Amino acid sequence: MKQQALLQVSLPQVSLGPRVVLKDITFSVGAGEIVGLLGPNGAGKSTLLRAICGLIAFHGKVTIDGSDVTALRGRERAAKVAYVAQEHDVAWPIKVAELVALGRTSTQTGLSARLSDKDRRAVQDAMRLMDITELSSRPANALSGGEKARALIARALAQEAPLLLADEPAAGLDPAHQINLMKTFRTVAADGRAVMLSMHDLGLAARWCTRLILLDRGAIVADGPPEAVLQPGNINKVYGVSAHVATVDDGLVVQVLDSLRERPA
Amino acid sequence: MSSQLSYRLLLAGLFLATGLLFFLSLTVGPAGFGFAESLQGVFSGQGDSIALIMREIRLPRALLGLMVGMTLGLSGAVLQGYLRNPLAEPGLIGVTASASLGAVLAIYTGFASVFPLGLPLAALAAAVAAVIVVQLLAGAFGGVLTVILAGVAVSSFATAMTSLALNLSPNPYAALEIMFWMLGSLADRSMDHVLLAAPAMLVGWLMLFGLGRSLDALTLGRDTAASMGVDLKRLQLLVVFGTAAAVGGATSVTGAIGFVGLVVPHVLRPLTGSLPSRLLPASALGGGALVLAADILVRLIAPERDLKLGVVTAVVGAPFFLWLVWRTRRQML
Repeated sequence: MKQQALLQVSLPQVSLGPRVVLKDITFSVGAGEIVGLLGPNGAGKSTLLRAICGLIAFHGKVTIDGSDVTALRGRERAAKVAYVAQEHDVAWPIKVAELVALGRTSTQTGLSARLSDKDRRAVQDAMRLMDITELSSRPANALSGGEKARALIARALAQEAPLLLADEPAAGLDPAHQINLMKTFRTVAADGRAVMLSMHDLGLAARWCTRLILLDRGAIVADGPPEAVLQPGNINKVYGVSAHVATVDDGLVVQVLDSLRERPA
Repeated sequence: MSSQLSYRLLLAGLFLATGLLFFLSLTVGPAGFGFAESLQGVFSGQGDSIALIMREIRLPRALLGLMVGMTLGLSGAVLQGYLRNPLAEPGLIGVTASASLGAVLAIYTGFASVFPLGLPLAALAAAVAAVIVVQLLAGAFGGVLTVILAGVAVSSFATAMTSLALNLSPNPYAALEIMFWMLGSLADRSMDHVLLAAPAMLVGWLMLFGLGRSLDALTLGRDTAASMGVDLKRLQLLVVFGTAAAVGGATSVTGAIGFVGLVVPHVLRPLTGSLPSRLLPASALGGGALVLAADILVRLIAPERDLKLGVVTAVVGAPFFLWLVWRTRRQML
């Protein structure tokens, strides 16, 4: 019997106001996959992630772990999908440990932020995975951009949902922490969960994602393993740049060479 | 010291201070009873003059001070958390200005003199009407900005109508009465006022006290909060209607008492680790303590001049607000 996909997406159309942002998007994601969502600025990557998470209205159907996302109540949905927003937005200078513990909000009842042993373990694991344990008592406004990004990803990891959506989580991270992030996503995927992340770093995508979806002007241009999607022709067409793609011993290497578009005068 | 322990100590300290100020409020007044005598008067159940003064004058005043202060502190903390802005205060969604307009119209039309509770009832009705308009303008899915804009629009209209009532006031005494009511005071309020305002404030508290965890999640933005299970539509309804009920009830019997809802959450935020769920109870107690203290102060510094409570909170609060703006500006540079 074929195993049911963790995520099934069928979106004939997604609009933001009068503008159609996504059209004819259909794909499914299974447990254990790390799916990189690629495409130029304005291609619809963030809108797709927000639609999957049920944060915006859409025409179509999104099923996560067997449930229609629009039929799920807030807490039920939070138990199935965690989301890392692109903005590193923290309104108050709360401590890093408390920020990460917010990931357990949907499992808590009562008025205060009291954590169970399971909650505490999830928070500590997430902080360890994102290498922020030492920052735990620092206020969020005293963190660098990259540190804050890691704390916000740890918050989503602490939610322990089977599907993790992250909107450009690697942006602002130094190379070591970018690799650490992708290794963490591998750990999450190996645990029987799935990760879908938007990104612009083609080299990182080629090296660490198990599958890539290339978007252009709201439609899927290519969907498959990195070596199938990151063809120089696809890269030229979508990004307007020339690229050198080579297969080495442990994977694919992509080097962007030059822009093919004329600069405006 | 763990943050949980220091928070508990803070709550205990605020609880003690509020309790102490409540009893102190019962013992301050022109009748000049001693502390023990005053407290005995409240609980004795006898019909002598001390018991009468305590039960009919000082107890309602202290109760209203406590409840109005708690309302302003709590709703200020909720609104700052919801709007994610330390400069937000309960008046921002138009409730205070509208309740004032209701009271002014009651004085202007003579409805206030038809029966004793005419004025607070008119104020409460205007607050409810205002918040319905704000909610309709903002829409069920309206964001933070639309709530603020709708509140500003309603506030501006209510203030303009209040000015019109003053402008067209039939005689200087009516204008003076309107002005004095708008300054905000706890003096000469009876148990009837307490019984009228208390249900509205209690309903508001019930709606607001449970919002702490949702406001914690909102610290990380609307999308992230929604992804963590927060129902933003329900949150907005509870914030707007809870604030309207509590602040509308408070303003209807005391007039506008400014700056408490702005200053108290701001001062207590660093002491609660900035988590809104911790700030809510602390700010409620802090608000109660501040209004009780200010009301004791107006009776001590000018017992003969009927100094208005709203004037004292504004005189202390406005310079603090300036400092707040200055500090916020420096942080933004």
